[in-house]
Amino acid sequence: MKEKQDVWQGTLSLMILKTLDVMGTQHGYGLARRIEQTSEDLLAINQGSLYPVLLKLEQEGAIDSEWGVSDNNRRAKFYRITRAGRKQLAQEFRQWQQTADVMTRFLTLSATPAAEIPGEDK
Amino acid sequence: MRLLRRAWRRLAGTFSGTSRESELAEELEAHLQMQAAEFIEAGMTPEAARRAAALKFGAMEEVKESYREQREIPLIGTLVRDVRFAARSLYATPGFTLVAVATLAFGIGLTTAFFSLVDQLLLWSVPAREAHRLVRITGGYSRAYPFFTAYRDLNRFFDGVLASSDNLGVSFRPAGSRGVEIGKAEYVSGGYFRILGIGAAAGRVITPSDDTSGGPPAAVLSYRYWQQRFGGDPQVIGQRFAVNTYPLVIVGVAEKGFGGLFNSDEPDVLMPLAMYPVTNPGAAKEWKMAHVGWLTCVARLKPGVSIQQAQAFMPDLWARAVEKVNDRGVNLAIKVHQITKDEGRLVPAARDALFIRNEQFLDPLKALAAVSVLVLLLTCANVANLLLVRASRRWKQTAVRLALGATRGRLIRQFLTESLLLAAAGSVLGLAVAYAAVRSLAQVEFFGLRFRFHLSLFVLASCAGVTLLTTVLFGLVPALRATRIQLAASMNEQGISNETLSRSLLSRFLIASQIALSLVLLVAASLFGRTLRNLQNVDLGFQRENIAIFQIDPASVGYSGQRLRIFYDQLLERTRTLPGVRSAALAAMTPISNTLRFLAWGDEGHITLSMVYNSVSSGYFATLGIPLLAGRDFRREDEPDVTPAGWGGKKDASRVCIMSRSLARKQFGTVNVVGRRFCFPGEDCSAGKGMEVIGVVKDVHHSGITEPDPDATIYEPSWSNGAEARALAVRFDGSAAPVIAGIRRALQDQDPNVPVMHVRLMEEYINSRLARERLIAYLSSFFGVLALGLAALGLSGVLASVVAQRTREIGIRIALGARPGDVARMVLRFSLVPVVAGLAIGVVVAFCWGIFLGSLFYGIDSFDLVSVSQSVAVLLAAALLAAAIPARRATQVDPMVALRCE
Repeated sequence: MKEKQDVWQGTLSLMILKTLDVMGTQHGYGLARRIEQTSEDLLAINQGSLYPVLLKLEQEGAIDSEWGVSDNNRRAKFYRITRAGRKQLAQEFRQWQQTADVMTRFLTLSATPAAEIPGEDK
Repeated sequence: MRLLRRAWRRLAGTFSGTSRESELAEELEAHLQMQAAEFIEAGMTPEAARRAAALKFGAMEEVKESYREQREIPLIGTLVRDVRFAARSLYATPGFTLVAVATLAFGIGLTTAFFSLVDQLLLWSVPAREAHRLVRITGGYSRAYPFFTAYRDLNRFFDGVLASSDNLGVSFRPAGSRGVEIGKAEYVSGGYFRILGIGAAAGRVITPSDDTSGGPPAAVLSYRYWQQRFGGDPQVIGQRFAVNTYPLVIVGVAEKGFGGLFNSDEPDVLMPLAMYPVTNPGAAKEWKMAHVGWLTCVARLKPGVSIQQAQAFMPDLWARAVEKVNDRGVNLAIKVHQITKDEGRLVPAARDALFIRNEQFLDPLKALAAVSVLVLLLTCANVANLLLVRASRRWKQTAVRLALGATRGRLIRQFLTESLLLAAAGSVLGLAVAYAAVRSLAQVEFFGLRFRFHLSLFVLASCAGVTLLTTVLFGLVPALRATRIQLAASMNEQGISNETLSRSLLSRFLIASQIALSLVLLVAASLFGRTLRNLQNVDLGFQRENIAIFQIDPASVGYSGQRLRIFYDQLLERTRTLPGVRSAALAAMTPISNTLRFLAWGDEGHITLSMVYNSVSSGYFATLGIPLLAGRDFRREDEPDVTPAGWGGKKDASRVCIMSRSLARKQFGTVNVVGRRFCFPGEDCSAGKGMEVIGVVKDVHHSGITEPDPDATIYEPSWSNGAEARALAVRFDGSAAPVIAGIRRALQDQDPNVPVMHVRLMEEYINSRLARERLIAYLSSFFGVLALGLAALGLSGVLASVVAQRTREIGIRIALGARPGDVARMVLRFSLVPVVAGLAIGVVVAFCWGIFLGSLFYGIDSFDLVSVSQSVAVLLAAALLAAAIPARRATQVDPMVALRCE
C-alpha cells in the first residue's frame, strides 16, 4: 500500500505554477485533479487547501484569474500564469533542484568516511 | 517587490466589499459540483457524490477562513467589518442617529470654533522680530510726545524706544486721482521700523532722518493697501500722495503681513510723527503738549535684560524725563512723586498676543471657552444616555452574542466603534457648525478683529482630539455597562430587573449631570440677557433717539482759521433751516465717541483733575437732550469774536464755561456753582479773571456705555480753542434719510471737495456698540434653550425606557389595585432624585461660573438670586413636562396585556 505524503509548505505553490505553465489556463478543480494525477495519489492534499495558495500567488502577481465557462458549461474561475509567474517558477525550480541535490548528496554520502569530504571541493 | 505588491493587494482587499466573499463562495461551490459530477459519472448516487466531494475538499469553513486571512490584514479587517456593522445598525435607527449626530455636532463644532479662534490668536502676536523683548510703557503722561522723546533720549537700558499714534482717520489723494478718499494713517517715530525689525517690501521704510521737522515728506504704504489700491504697482514709489491735502511722497511699502502695531486695526499709510502737525494743522500745537497723551510708547529691552530689571530703572528715568520736560518751559509743574506709581510701568507687549486690546479680547474668548466646554459635556451626557437606552433595547442581542462565545473585549470594541462613527459624523457636521460660528462672530466684530475660519492643522487636530475625547466620554461607560451581563441570569427573566436597576442608576446620574449643566447654561443665559437689558437701559445722559451726527473734515482740504469757522457756521445755519430738522449744533466731540482727556489744576494749583474737554455751539444741549440743571446755555455772543489760532491763543478766548454735574462736584464740592470762577494752570487768576461757570448740565457718557464714573466734562463755547474739526449734531423729526440727504446737498453746494468722514445715527451706533454683548446674550440664550431641550429629551427618553422595561411590574401593581395616580407618582419619583440633585450641583457650578465670567456682567451680581431661581423654576417645569408623558403612558398599561406579553 502506498503511503500518502503530507505536502510541504511552499511546494504546493511550485506545483501550481508548474501545472499552469504546462497546461495553460485551468480552474481550481482541474488544478487539484491534475496535481493528484501527477503525484499518482501519493500526496495527501485536501483539495480546499489549494485556494489560499492560489490567492497568495495572485496577490504576488504570479498568476492571473478570470471568470469563464468550463468544458461542461459550468461557471468557474480560471487561472493563468503570468510572465512574472514564469520567472518565479524558473527561480523556485532552481532553488528546489539545489535543495534536492544537496539533500540527495547529503543523504547518500552519509555512509562514506568523513575524511573524504574535503575532496569534494575539487 | 513581490512582498510589497502582496501587501498592497491585501490592504486593498481589506476594504473591498462583500462581493469578494460571494465570489469565493461561488468558486468553491463550482469546485464541489465538478467533483460531485465526476463521482456521479463514476456511478455514485448524487447524495453520496456530494458527500464524497466535500470529504475530498476538506473543512470548507477552515479553507474560507484561511483564505480570508490571506486576503486582508486581519486587525484592520475586523475593524472595517465593525465599522460596516456599526454603520448598518445606525442606518437602521435613523431617528437615534440623527439626534445623536446633531447633538454631537453642536458640542464638537463649538469647541472647534473655540480652537480656531485660539489658533488665530496664537498666530497673531506682535508683528515684530523677537517680540518677547518688546515692552509697552504705560501711563498718562508717558503717552505724550515730550515724554516719549525724553524716554528715547535719556534711557540707557533699552535698545530703543518707539512711539506710534492710534490709527487716525485722514483723507488721501493719490497722484492722478480726482477725488479724496478716506483712509487710516498711523504716525510713527523714526525708530519704529528699526526697533520692531520690520523691513520694506518695496522702496524703503521710515528712518529717524524722516522724523525731523523739515525732514522729507515721506509716506510708507501698508502692503495690503498697496495691493488693494495700487494693485502692487512698484511704480507707485516716488509718486505724490496727499494726506489731508498736504503733499507727501510715497517712499516705500512695508513688508508683507505687517499690519501696524495694532493688529486689529491695520493702517493704510504710515507717516513720521513729524508729518503730524503739517497734515493736521488744526492740532499743530496740541500734539507736542505734555498733557496730551496720544501715543503708544514701546521699548525694546536689551538682550538678557529682564522686564523686572528694566522696571527698576524706570522711576529714575521718569524723574529725569519730568525734569527735562519742565526744563523746556512747558511749565506744567508736574510733580515727580505724585504720579510715579501710574507712570512708566512696563508691560510685556508680546505676551498679550493682542497687544493693547487684550482685555477686551480675552473676556469673550473666556465666555466662548466656558460655553463650549459646558455644551460639549452636556452633549456627551445626552448621547451617553441615548446610547444606554439603545443598549438596553439590544439587551437580548448582546446576551446571545456573549453566549455564542464573543469575548467582552470584542463587544466593547464594537460598541465603541459605533460611538466613534457617531462622533466622526458629528465632527464633520461640527466643522460646519464651527465655520458658521466663527463667521457669525467675525461678522459682528466680536473682538474688533477680522477673524476667518481656516482649517489649519491645529484646528483639525484639535477637532479630531475632541472627537476622540467625546467618544470615550459618552461611549465607554455605556459600552462597559451594556456588556456586563450575567449570562445565566439574563437568560431567565429575573436577571433583567436587577440589571435595569443598576443601569438606571447610571442613567439617573447622567440625568443629574444634564440637569446641572442645563441649569448653568440657563443661569448664564439669564445673566447675559439681563446684562444686555441693563446696558440698553443705561442712562447715557442724553436722548439717543432721532439724532444724526455728521463728521466732516474741511480742514483736510485746506480750510483753516476764520475760513474753517465760517464754513461750519454756514453749514449750521443752512442745516437749521432744512425741513425735518428740529435743532442742530456743532461740537468738538459728541457722546459715545473717542475722548480727548486732559488734566487741569484747580485754584490752589495742587488738585489734579482729569476732565473731558468739549467746545459746543449754542443749542447743543437741547439738540442732544442733555438737561440743563442750572444756569443758562451758551449764546452766540459767548463765542470769541476773533478765532484764536489754536490751543495756544487762549488770550482772546471766551471766559465762560458750562460744567457737568460731576465736574462741579469734584471741583467745588457742590452743584450750585453758577457764577463761580475757575482757573486753568499757568493763568492769571486774580479777581475778575479766570473762567466763569454759567451753567451746569447732566453728566454724559463720552467714551463708552459702561464706564464706571461719569465723565467730568467742561464745555466751552465753540471756537474757544481755535478753529478745529467739528461734528454737526442734528435732532430730526420723522425719518432720517431725507434729512441726511438734505444736509449732504447743502454740503455739496458749499464745497463738493469736503470729505464726509461718517454719518451716524446715534441710536443705531449705540446698538452697534453693544453688538458683542448682544451676541453673547443671544448665543447663551440659544444654548440655554438647547440645553433645556436636550435635558428634557434625555429625561423623557430614559423614563420611557424604564416604563417599557417595567411594564410587567406596573401591570402587576395595577392588577393588585394601584390607582393611576400611584403609578404616575412612582415614575415621577424615579426622576425626582436626579433632578433635585442636578439642580443642587448646578447651583454650585453656576456660582463658580459666575465668578469666572464676572467681568462680562453689567449691573448684576455674578451670582444673582433672581436669575438662579428663575432658571431653577424653568428647569423644574421642563422636567415635569418631560416626565409627564412616560408617566401617563405608565398609567395606561393594561395589566392583562402586560402580563400576557411577557
